[in-house]
Amino acid sequence: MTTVAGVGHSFNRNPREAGREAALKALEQKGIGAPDFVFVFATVGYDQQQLIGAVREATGNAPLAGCSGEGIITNGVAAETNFSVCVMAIKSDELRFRNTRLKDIGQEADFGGGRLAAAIKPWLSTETICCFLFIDGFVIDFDPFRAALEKSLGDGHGLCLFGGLAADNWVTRRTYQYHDDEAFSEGISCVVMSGRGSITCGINHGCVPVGTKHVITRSKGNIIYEIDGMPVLELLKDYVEGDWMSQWNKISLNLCLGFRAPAAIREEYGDFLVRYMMAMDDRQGCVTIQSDVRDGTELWILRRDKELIRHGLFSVSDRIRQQMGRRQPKFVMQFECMGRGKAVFREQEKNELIASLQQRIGHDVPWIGFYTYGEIGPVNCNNCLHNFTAVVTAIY
Amino acid sequence: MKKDDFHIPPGNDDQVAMLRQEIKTLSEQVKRLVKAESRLYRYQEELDAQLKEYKDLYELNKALNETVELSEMFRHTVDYFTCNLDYERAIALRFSGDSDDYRVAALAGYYDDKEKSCVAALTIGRDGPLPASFARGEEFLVCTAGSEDAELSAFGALAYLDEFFIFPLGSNFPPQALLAVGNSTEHTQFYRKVDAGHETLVSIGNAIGLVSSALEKTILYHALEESEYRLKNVVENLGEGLILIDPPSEGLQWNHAALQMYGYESQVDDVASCQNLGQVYELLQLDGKPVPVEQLPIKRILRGEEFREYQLVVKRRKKPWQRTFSFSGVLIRDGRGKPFVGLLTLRDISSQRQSENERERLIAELQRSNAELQQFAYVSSHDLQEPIRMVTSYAQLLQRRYQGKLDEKADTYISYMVEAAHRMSSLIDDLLALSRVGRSERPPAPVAMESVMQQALDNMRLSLEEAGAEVTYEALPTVPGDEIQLLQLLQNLIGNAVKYRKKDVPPRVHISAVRKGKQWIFGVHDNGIGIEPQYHERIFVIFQRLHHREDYPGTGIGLSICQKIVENHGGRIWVESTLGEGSTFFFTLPAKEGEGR
Repeated sequence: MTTVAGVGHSFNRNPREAGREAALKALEQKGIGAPDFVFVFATVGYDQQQLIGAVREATGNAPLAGCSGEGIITNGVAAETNFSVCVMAIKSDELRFRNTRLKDIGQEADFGGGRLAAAIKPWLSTETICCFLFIDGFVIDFDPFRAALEKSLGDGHGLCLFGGLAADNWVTRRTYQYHDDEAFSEGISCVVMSGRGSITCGINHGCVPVGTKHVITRSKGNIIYEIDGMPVLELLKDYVEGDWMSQWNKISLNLCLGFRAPAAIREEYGDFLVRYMMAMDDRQGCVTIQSDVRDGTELWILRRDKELIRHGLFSVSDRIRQQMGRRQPKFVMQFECMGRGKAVFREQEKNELIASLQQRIGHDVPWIGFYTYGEIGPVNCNNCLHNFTAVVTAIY
Repeated sequence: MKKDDFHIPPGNDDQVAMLRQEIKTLSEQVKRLVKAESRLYRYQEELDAQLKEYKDLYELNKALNETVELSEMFRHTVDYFTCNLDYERAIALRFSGDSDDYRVAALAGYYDDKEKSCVAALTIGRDGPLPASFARGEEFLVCTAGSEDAELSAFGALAYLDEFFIFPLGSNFPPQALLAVGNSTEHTQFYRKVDAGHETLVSIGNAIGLVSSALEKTILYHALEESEYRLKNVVENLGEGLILIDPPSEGLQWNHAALQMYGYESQVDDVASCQNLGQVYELLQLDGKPVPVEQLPIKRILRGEEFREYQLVVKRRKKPWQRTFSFSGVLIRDGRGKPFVGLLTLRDISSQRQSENERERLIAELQRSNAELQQFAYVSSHDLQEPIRMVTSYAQLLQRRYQGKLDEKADTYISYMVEAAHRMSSLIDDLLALSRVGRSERPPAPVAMESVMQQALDNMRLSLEEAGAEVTYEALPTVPGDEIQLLQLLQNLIGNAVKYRKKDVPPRVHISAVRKGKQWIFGVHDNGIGIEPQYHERIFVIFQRLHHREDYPGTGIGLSICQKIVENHGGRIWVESTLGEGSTFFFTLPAKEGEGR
């Protein structure tokens, strides 16, 4: 029983040539003739449909899933450019992959959670290992989605969710999800992995609070209007300088909101659940995050700490190695917050950090991932959405 | 922090206030630190971007310097602007002298097939408005979306660019190439924006400067290579031998002709340096004496001497091989006066030298023979004169004493004897005269032909009067020569012109002189009996007569003497004549140097 995974990437500007190049490299790396499944992550500069079409053509129309990111991650590469694509081709007689997709999730109160549960429930069994989700980061409110999904699947489903929120280049305001021949938006690409295998992960954010506790005094759903009785943006003004209205992208990377982590995950995860402020409204002074909040909720303003991030990644690799014991991972998927890339590290620092992480988990282990607008990974069997976090999963 | 959050024992209000103040202060400090950190990340990102750009520029520079192919250079350039500077498209257009326009040499960026073929066929006229902008001093052109510049917009439409720069590459006008870089509106959000801001221009300017410099260097390299190739071919295919001398090392570079002259097919160590050459060959003067070292051609050149036709014998040491060469040499200096290269040309004149030696030998022999013949003719004539004089005298005595005393036959025989003796005497006199007409031992002196003419007429007055001859002449020049011989020449020709007159027609003789190039052509024109064409050459042969002695006296040696005199003066003599209409004897004499008519 074997699982073979090959990875390839390309920076070619031509979408057809890039897709073909990345796919062929993945196939040739491990001599895979006809893969069983293909994961693709790419940045938004490409014509996405042409890109996916080329990958499908090169891989013999193997089932495909993935999404767009702010950058790609693979062996020896962590590229945050507008034109980058990575492909992982998997051939396995011990693992099975079944994929599906949902569209127009923004129209629904549960953001497609119920529909997705209905689609994948028939696939679930005792051999189910996990479910990968690649979701449009601009439309999702993760908490109602997860609640609906888990409720529909039923108690005791034990389905672990991994993945990330698709991202763009901070400009286009559109992300893409991939399913077989399609590249679409405002949807979900889903892969259920089953068979003889295990999965382990490490999750770490490396953020610390600045200042004292605050309280949400007005909110609705995932929009926070006021903190401590003042508009949120007024409060944040003290922590930024210059023309902060036009610098929102950078501000929202430097600062994030932290909520007290649920008791169930606090020991493993830390004190704070980190939430990225993905949008703001300067007229109302409010910000939007990716999960629901209530008035009276305590929150802290958090900042990224480079050293904590660095050490956190090391602890991630340690945890994974500890879980795997002597076994070697078949492949690794990394869902890294885009706020942990070039926004905080110099290019060389970032590359060294990724290389170090890869080295610690396993030299030459097939590795694929992307820079996300949100990371999905379970903590203490609780499926969570994270921000400013690294979710590293090793399948072994 | 709310008061209710902590249980504060009573009586600690001051402490609480102090703590609140400290918290406030700390909070402000944290806010400042967060701002600073934010600034730091911003600077860090900018620094990283700059470092990446410098690194990419370094790689570009390296790539440009590693090739001498212009097509590759253009390829590297357009790739740099698209892959490293993140513009969507880049087009390099190279100036073509043949078509006098700019044509696409390389393009990068994603185009579909139709777009690509359209852009690849793009041209910009040399005298078009876009290049003209650079002639006016514009450093670059920029067009943003919605530009009202019709020319730029038109170009953008053809190049599928909605916002773009155009830069000239190279420092001359017209620019060696143009580079168009930019984006389409559809994809601008994924690429670096086209703006003429300072940072952008510095960034692009660095690359443009590098590319321009490399381009000019490469074009110069190709021009130099072509020039070298042409020069090398010229040198190699010269019929004349050429040796290049490197002044510092005295190393030698031979062309094929020079090697062949020395008997080689290709350059070998023997001839690679002055020192080696000297060990294998020795140089001798034409008289066989060794050439002093300081007079060796290469040494003379290295001293800065310039020389022509320096003839030497080249002899191979220890082998029976030698040739005679004519060397010419010059030392070429660079702009600062430093010796740059020595040029030594050589011609193999061995055959020519041999011919010259043979010719000199023949001339010497001929001269010796001539001298001997002249001497013989003189001595013979002189020695014969005495016995002939005795025969003539005694024949005359016999005639005087015994005229009428012997029979008629005896008188006739005696008159025949006297006549024959007279004739022999004349022949010997003429022969003596001919033998005396040798090369003058005096150097040629200016001879006023008018004066000679007058003297000749004076000498011939009696015979001219007897014949009723009229002699006229044009202005006659002064020529270098022997006056006595020229007098004899004129007297002989005028004498002939008068002698060979028509019966009952007074002879008219006219002497002309016409300058032609470096010589004078004299003409002695008469209205005499004329000469048939078949005899025009024969009349100059010694003792050749066309008429009987009874009709026209003389020995037939006069024209031979004239020919010899003219040839002594480096000229030639010939006749143009029609029987019954007269003759003109032409002869040429050298003109005096620097003289006009």
